[in-house]
Amino acid sequence: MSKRLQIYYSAIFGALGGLAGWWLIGSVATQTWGIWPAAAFVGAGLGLCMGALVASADGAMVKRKPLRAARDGILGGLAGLVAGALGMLLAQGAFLALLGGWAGRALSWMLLGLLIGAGDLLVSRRPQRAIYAGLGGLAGGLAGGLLYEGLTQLFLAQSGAAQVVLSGVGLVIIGACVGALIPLARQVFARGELRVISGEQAGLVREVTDNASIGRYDGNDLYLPDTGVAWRHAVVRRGDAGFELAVLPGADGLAQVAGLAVDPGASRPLRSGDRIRIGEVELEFVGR
Amino acid sequence: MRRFSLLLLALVLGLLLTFALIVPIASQGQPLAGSGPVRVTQVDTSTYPQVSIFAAVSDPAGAPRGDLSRADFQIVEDGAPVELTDFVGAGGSSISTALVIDRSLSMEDADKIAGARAAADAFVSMLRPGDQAALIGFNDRVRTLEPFTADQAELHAAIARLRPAGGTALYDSVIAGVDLLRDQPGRRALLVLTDGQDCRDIVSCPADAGSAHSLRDAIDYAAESGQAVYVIGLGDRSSGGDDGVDEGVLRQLASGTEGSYYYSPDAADLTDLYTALAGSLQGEYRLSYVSPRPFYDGTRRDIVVMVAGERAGAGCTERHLINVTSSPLVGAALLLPLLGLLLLPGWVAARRARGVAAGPAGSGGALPVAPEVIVVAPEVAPAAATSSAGARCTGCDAPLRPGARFCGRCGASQPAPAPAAERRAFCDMCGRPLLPAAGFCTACGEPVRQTQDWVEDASARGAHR
Repeated sequence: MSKRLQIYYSAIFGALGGLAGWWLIGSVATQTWGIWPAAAFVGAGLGLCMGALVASADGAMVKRKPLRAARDGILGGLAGLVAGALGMLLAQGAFLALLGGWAGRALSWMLLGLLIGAGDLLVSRRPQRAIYAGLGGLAGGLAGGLLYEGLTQLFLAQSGAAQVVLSGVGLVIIGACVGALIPLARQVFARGELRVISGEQAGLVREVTDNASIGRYDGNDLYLPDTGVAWRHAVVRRGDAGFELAVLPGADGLAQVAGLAVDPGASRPLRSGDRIRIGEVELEFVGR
Repeated sequence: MRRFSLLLLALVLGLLLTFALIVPIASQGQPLAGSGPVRVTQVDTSTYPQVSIFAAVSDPAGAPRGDLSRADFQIVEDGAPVELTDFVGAGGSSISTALVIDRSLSMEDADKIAGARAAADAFVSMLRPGDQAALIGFNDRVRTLEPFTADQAELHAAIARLRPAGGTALYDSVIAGVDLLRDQPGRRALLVLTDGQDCRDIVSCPADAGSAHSLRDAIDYAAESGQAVYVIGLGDRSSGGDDGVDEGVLRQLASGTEGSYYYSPDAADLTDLYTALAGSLQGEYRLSYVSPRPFYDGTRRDIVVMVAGERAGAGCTERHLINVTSSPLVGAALLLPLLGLLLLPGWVAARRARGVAAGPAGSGGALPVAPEVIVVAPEVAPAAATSSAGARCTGCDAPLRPGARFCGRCGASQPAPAPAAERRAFCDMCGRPLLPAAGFCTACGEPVRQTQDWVEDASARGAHR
């Protein structure tokens, strides 16, 4: 699956998350609550839905493993719940401090996007990756927030029914922006990528931020459900001297870099353009 | 990829530019209180969508006018005239006042503290039934000496306890006053009296004798709560040194919060000033209406109050960053296109695959093909492509997907492909997998017998199957 298609799916999942969040928080009449409990509830609801959907996009569309998607989704949802509640409280504070308007709206959504992106830490447990995701969320929140505010200003004087549609569309847009920009930021900031040349996942391109695990287990960054690939087979990681392929000790199966075998427990430096063989799968490493 | 990152950069820069252009326009806003005969002193949105406006109207001589009736007032919100739902004439609405009084050491000079006590006493004496007041004294530290009460005797007693000592934490006292007033209903007034400068801004002051917050913090904090600050400067004006009031700072504090600044050179004049302030507060009108745009959308509403041919502008911003109401119908209408977009790439890939298959094979159009195979088809390495492209069913001659062991159309079993060169071999002795081209087992050291037997055997078995 190409990188663009991965971004596309993540955006659609983010949009679905925004829609689900809108549906959830919109069915509770929070306007009669105090402003802070309402903000925490709305943030938690939006974070839960957007975090869960964005996190499960990879499992659902790339790995095509429903259980993996559900597991990532639950973790992403939990992270989103906390990050969203916290982020919305901060965002509401910023919004009030800036006395609303474009600046307030954009900055507030940036904060929320940043925290939802950073929630990736709970799913991937990789600080570097989570930072990139957070930056993506930040940019996504900015773009989505500005678009939402634009829509709000455009349909300011419309009736209540128009406001219902507007809020739904607005949250779908914010979800799509956050969903699209989280993987885009990871890809832009990544220093290398792995391209699957042959096998079940042929055509898949996976970015490598600081390290990426490879194996048959669907929790790996690069999931290769092919024969000859071990459960957890190898790791591509970035050391002081650049990227290297390390075959995990106890990995049962073949691993080669540029035609040279790598024993379990050993590693070999990678140069851009190197062909990697894991079991029966052929990969290409592209560094930047 | 590089083009992609450039695109992202351009997008972010574009957005930031838009942002930078929009922010100054947005923050300009309209002044809340005009200086003309009509002034809007407070906009209360605590019971939104009902909005309450407090307005002071004065005659040409500057004295409060208390003889106006409901019909004299007209309110326009965002260009649309609104109907008043409630009108409280002059002297009818209850007022909560926080009296914030400087009790730094310098207040001892020239009987300033006595003047301040007398002025506060006069203000308290003017409280009407329903009104209440609180007293905050500040030097290095800010203390609430009396919380909100309508009991005049208690307030007088608290005022009598004001004793000068220590430094000046003016900005912190403003923040404390805003906090104290925050949950009070009706008209909220914050009167801050000082005779000096905040120790925070004076080099000769000890570090802990001034405010923890800056002037900007205090202004932002009050403005965020919509709390106007009435600032009273007492005694000598500063000539640039550390003594006397810094009128620049006090004016900034007043104008930044849509409040007012008053100056009294002599402590003896303070009582008149406080009495006049109480009179002007009590002479305000309260006008209530329901917003014609009763949405919780966090947008600003510009309000114009017109009375007796004069007008004053004001505004309020609904406070919710996001507050939505959902409806299942709208939800379904939004869900369907999104699901469509989710299935779109698979559908496009299937279309493309059909086109590819129909080209060379002619009859492949009816083949169900898994999308991911098709998406990646152009990226398959040439060697892999040639080995799988020509594969056809032995029974019905339909094209086969790579690695297929049965035909998708007729279900006939297909011969296994020739084993790859690196077919895994296992040690005869310990059974562990051998590395390709290994001469010895890496686990037990047993020499590997390189015979072709197993290859032939395997391919024969494959063909048989």
